[in-house]
Amino acid sequence: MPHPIVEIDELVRPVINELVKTSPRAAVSFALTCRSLEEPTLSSLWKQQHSLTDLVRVLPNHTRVEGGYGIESTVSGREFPAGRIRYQLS
Amino acid sequence: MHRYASWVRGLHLFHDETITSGSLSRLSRNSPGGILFPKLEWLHWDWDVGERSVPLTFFRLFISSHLKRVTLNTRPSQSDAHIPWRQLAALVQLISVLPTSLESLSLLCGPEKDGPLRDAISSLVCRCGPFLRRFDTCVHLSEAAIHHLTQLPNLRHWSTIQCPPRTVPLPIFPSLENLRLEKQAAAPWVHLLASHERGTPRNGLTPATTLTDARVTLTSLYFVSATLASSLLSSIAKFRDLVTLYVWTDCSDVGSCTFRLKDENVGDLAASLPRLVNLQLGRPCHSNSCHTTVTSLLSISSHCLDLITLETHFNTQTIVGDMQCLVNGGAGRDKAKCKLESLVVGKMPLEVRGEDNETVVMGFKVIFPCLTGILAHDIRWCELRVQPRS
Repeated sequence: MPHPIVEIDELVRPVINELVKTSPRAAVSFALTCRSLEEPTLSSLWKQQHSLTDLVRVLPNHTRVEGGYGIESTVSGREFPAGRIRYQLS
Repeated sequence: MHRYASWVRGLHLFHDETITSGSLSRLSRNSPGGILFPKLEWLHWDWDVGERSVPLTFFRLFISSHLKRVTLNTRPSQSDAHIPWRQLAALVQLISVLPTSLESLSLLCGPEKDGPLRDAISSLVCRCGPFLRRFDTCVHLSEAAIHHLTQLPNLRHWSTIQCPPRTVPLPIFPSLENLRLEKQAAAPWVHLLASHERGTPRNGLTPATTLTDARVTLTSLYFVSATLASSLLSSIAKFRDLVTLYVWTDCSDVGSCTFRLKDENVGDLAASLPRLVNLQLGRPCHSNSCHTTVTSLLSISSHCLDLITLETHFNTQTIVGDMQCLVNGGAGRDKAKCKLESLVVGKMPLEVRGEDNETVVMGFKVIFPCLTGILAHDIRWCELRVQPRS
């Protein structure tokens, strides 16, 4: 049962925005503290992308090729647990 | 993957994106409807001819029905590079499938005058409706497309390198706030718009709009510095809210000054544009070869009372004598009323002996009584100590 305070969007949203802006790593840790925080934080982290690399890196069979990223086989569409994000942003 | 992709609202693709084509193909095959980011709202794509750019043939991955803002920059980094035929065909196809509900569209595709790109962009413009608020392109559009743009009810920002068509139906630009006229487009558009402002429309049409609230940015009014045509100046003068005026010449050597305005030209400009808020005159240079002097500052100060930012340069070879004259009650000192607080002189040189510093500072205070700082690259400007001493 999450603490009632994390259900108050007006309180949580400014914290998320600030974390995403100043420290994405801290934002990921914040997302992993509680299921109620996961969706709003990760969606905020993913809101703007400056490459397709992050998306490829969350796939199960991505590989580094010729200075870029590739996928070894057809993507299954299977989703990853939020914990995977730690690797993707590291 | 779809979960993460559904969170993406904005995507900036650089020309050196490191995703392989094979991966993109697989992503494409595994994306529902072939769209990678179903809720993408803005796309900024810098594409280059180089092998590392995401091929334009994958454009469909990014065309979501939620797209509101699109910037597509396909200008080659090397001027002699040409877009390969296959990529050009993909670019044309991409433009043709862009949603017409876009609010902002920037298609920076190179100054093409004819060809499929021109037709595709013109066609897209003609299909765009009242949603469009901003449009920029380097491609010459068809006359029909220009007509359509001038009639769009919510178009706020527009930039063009293209001269206006011979006739433009009125009213034009009902909501325009910022018009950016590049290079040779400046003079014809200013004349056309000014004629509407003066109520002397062409072809017997009645003016139904004014541009008094528009902010007109002339980014390359190079001919002004050469000739300063009085007719053009009088046209500009009709725009009481012209807040930004860049005047520079085509400069091939950054180290040498190609700024050809004289004191009387700046005086005419300042007198014609008394409501200027921001003014950038010329490109600051290393050399002391321009023709304007301290007198140009005096003209600006006496006419442009609302000025907030001024970036200019002038010849400082006679600055000590000129300032001495001003301080001792020289002509024009009583007219200076501008409240400018900060003057930007960039790389402009200054050669003043230490004992003359105070005279120069006092001269600047006469011209701009509220001046508290001069922003310059040369350390000698800092030694003037324009700021009040504590």
